[in-house]
Amino acid sequence: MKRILKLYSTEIVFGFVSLLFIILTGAEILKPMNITAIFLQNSYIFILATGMAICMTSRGNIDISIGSFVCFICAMGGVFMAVMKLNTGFTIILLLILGLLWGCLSGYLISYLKIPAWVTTLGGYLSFRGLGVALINTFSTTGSIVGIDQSFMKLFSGKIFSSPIDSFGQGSLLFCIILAVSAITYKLYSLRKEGSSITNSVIFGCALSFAVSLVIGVSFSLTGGVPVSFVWMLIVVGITQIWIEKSAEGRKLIMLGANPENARIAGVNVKRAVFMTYIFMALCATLTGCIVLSRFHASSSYAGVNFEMDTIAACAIGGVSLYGGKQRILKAILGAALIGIINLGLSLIGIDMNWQWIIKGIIIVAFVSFDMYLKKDRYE
Amino acid sequence: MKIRGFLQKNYLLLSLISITIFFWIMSEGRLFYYGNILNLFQQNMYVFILASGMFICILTGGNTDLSCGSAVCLIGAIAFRMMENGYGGFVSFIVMLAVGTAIGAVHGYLIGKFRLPSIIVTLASMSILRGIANLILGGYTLSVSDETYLRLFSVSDGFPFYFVFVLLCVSAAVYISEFAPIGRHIYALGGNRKAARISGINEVRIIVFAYIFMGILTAISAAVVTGRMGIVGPSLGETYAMDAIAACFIGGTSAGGGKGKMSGVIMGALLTGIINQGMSILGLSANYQNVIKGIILVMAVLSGYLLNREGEKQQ
Amino acid sequence: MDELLVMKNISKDFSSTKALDNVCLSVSKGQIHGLLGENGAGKTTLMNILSGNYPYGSYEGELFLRGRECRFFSSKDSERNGIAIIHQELSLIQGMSIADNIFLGNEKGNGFFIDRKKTREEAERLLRLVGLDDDPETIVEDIGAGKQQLVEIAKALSKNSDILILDEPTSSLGQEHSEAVLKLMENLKAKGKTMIIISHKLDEIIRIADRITILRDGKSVETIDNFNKDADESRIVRDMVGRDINDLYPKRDAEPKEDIALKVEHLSVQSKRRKGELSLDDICFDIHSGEVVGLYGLMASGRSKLVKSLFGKFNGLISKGSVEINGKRVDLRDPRHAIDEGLAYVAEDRMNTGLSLDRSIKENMTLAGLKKVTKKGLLDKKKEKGVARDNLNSFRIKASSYEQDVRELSGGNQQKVLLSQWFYTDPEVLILDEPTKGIDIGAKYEIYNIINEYVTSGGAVLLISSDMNEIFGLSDRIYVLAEGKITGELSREEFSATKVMDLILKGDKRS
Repeated sequence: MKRILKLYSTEIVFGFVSLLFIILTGAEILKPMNITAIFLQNSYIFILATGMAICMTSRGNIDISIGSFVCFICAMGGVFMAVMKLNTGFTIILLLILGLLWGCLSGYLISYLKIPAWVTTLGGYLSFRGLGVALINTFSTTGSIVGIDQSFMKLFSGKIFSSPIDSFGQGSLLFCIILAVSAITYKLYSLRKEGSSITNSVIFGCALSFAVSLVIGVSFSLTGGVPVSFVWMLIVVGITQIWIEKSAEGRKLIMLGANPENARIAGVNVKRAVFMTYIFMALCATLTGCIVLSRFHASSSYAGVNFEMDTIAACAIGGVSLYGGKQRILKAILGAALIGIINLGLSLIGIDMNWQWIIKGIIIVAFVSFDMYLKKDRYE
Repeated sequence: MKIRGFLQKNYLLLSLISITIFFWIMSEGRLFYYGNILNLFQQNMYVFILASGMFICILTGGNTDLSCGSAVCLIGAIAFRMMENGYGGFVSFIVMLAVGTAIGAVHGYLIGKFRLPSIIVTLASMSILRGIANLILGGYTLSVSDETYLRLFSVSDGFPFYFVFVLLCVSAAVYISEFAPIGRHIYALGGNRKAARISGINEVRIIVFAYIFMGILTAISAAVVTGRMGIVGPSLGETYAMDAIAACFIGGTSAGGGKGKMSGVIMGALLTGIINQGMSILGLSANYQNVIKGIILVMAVLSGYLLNREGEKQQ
Repeated sequence: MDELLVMKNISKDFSSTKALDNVCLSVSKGQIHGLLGENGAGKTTLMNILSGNYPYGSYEGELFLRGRECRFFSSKDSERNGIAIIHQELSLIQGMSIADNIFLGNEKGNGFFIDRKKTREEAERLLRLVGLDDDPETIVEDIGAGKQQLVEIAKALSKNSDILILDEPTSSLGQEHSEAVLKLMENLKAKGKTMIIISHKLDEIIRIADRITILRDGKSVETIDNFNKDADESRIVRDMVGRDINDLYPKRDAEPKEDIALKVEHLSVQSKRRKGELSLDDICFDIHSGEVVGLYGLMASGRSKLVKSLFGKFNGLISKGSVEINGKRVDLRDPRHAIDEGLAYVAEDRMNTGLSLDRSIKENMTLAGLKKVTKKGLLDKKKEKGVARDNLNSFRIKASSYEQDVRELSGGNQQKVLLSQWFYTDPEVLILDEPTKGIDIGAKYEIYNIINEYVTSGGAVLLISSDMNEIFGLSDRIYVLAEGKITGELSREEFSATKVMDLILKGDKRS
């Protein structure tokens, strides 16, 4: 019994809470508009949670600067395009460079100089928001910089397979179905190739995923198309999942998280691996910044507020342990989805924003405690 | 070599002096007007108080309390609502202390007994407490009119009780870290956890103690800050935790625990206060202040680390 | 005889192994009692029971102090009853002063304020007692390990105990400091203190102990009197090591070849803790293909340092020397380089260093040789599964599947997983550090067979073991290491416990 709880805690909680909200909102939450909103409004959590999960895989490393960094990227994007009138391509390259720089800096400080992660990223948390807001105030009087390039916005927001709101956009549905089918096929194919057997739970999982993608596809079709941010999310999650499951470097990271000393003796370059995770995290934050910037058509000083809370909460639900080892990226995604559902559900019910803060805080503590309790033997 | 040794030992004092001079010049002497100095102290009382508590927490092994800012807002909100409903200032203060203690106890228990990482716990409570505070305030900014409260905690005429409170808190931290047996235990726990436990030190007791101490100090901060400003708003305390942490690290406290002195923390708090004040006088917006503080934070820890390494290499 | 302490029929189990089996110990007042035995003989376990670290209820048997039965539930309990223990690992807080360390947990004062003056005075008195004249306000990390050990003793003395237990007090000390400690013990005895000393160092025990109890494999072999300090060394050695080399060691047909697989020349490594001294001094040895070379030394002789420096650990401290593998000079600056050059290191501590317990058998097996299952950066999972399956068979690992967590396996099977991990890297030289520690006889035999197979096909093995029988049974040649130096080499015909101990004592005495 304990084993089932341990393995499927995330799914169980997800099912339970979703059910709760379906009841509480009188099934409002199942409306296509709302399902789409979950992805539209919360794409940031998905991407950031992926980055954070990778970060946490390496034993005790987190990054609380991500929210502020998103704000900074938003601000810089606004400055590049609206003020300096640079074109989209150039802007993207510059933003990527900024992300790389911060990733290298934080990675270096944390991995090589061994400055505790919480201090370093705390410094980032402070500085980047300040920088971002300072930039915005310098270049505008309204508290936000407007005038983002059209092509930039098309790249990071809006919809593909777009269709008029009243009609049924078959393109979107088709897209989701094709995606789901290819993912399932790929999964089955690689299982065969590895020589694993296709168990009942695998079949169940595939069927479930197919059903879910149908629901999502229908929702998208009825609401004007597949959001671009959704596509980005798929790309990031997909690449990360494949990387950590199938690549040698991914395996090294997992083993390093489970036992750093062992990994070191077995020839893994521990310092470099941790360094890389911070670069990845920073890049995720950069992408998120672009998406947020596009979505709001402007750099805002409120961008990124509370992102780190949501991300950590998502990871906590997803059973991403601060003490390393294999993190199921997909579970973190489930956690992110749940946070999205909670966010949306609470506002549908009309509950105060503050209750969201309280609930999320409690979720974090509860899940981390639960995780600690289950994995007691791993710790001193 | 001698110069380097001198620099190493006194870098804190030297930074304090040089930064003060810097701002003095930049502000064309305005920094040292009496009004400004008094202002400096009054506006940064919370740094001294919270840094004292944060110092003890960090000493136990790098444990932090990111929620103290939100707690200040919450505790202030509770007190103001009480006074609105007719409770006296003194009673409200007692309740404030109780709430602070309770928050500290919960933190201490989760971190000490359940070994949850302090950053996660206090990040979560930062959120929770802010949420509760906002609910209590209902979006309003409350003000106080209770005479007792104002007499005890405001900075206008009358006996400067607020100063006494600050002194009390700082002295308590000095007492704990220098003179009390429990202080030795705290240093030991932060210095070498395994060895400390072998020596019979009760880790849970120490951590709970540290966080309850922090909780009480948070309550006192809430009192003097809300007393001075006379109001409680939803954004109260947003930068407090960072300021306290910065003061500790600037003051030479080791991020891993087990090393640091209150003399350093006091200077660090002073420095933070001067930076705050100096930047305000120069008219820098809060955002630039944050940027600078963030950079200083990392640099303080970095230089602390580098200085230690230098010391090791020389041997 | 007024026996101050009597431990009667003490037994303790650790899941699969019996750490202590009806051990009896009795210590008279005012005497120094020596406890001798190899690694894993049970000495520290016995003392942990006495000091309360293993509480009453976790062992069988009885404890009598001054004739009254005692039940300790924590180390504080035993302290209150007059027992103070100085552990093997230094338990001083490096960043605090000597005085603060001495009185940690027992601060002088009225409970609210520390009495600085009294602390200082008492500390000075205690320091003088142990022969130190350092200022009690000195920070511990500024004094050397030798002095720190004396401070530890001062700390134990501050508790005014009746019995003082010293667990390997001189194992990490050089000659001069060991002398100081032994002299101190003689002084304390003259003042009426009762002491129990655990040590490997035969000569030291013979020098100061009044009675000596020898443990082997959890049993007390015998207790001999040593009042005239003239105990028979060879008799003790025989007790410690065991008389017969049983037929536990499978025969190996192969003969060592001519080519030299590993050659270490003039390797010297500086000590991090004892500045200016060398922890490894001019080490020279070689291993031929098809040969097993044993390395025997007591704890702190430098044997783990030697092995770790081959794997890049002490990179910055190597002051001179070179290592050649198959005739080629190699750079061993980190584990990756070592592995690529053909070295494999099976760590002593399989649970913490050797394996990742919470990961599957399969993942552990391929970690060191991950290159071999990687193609263009991606893992060939099918191949990996094949490797795991083959290994489960060839190493005869009892597991339900290769996806099982390593944590769930027995010690012997875990060790086999560890071995398979390193064999997978196709090493030229296999370094085995205590390969059969804590493993049952059946598994041991299987592991010996595996080693033999490897050697027969041309592999070279460096074997470190504190089980002399094992070293005799497996090795073609033995080097003896003492105090960081190689004190001698024995060929198969010369294998004998006496000769080995002689070589060790030769290193210790430094006459």
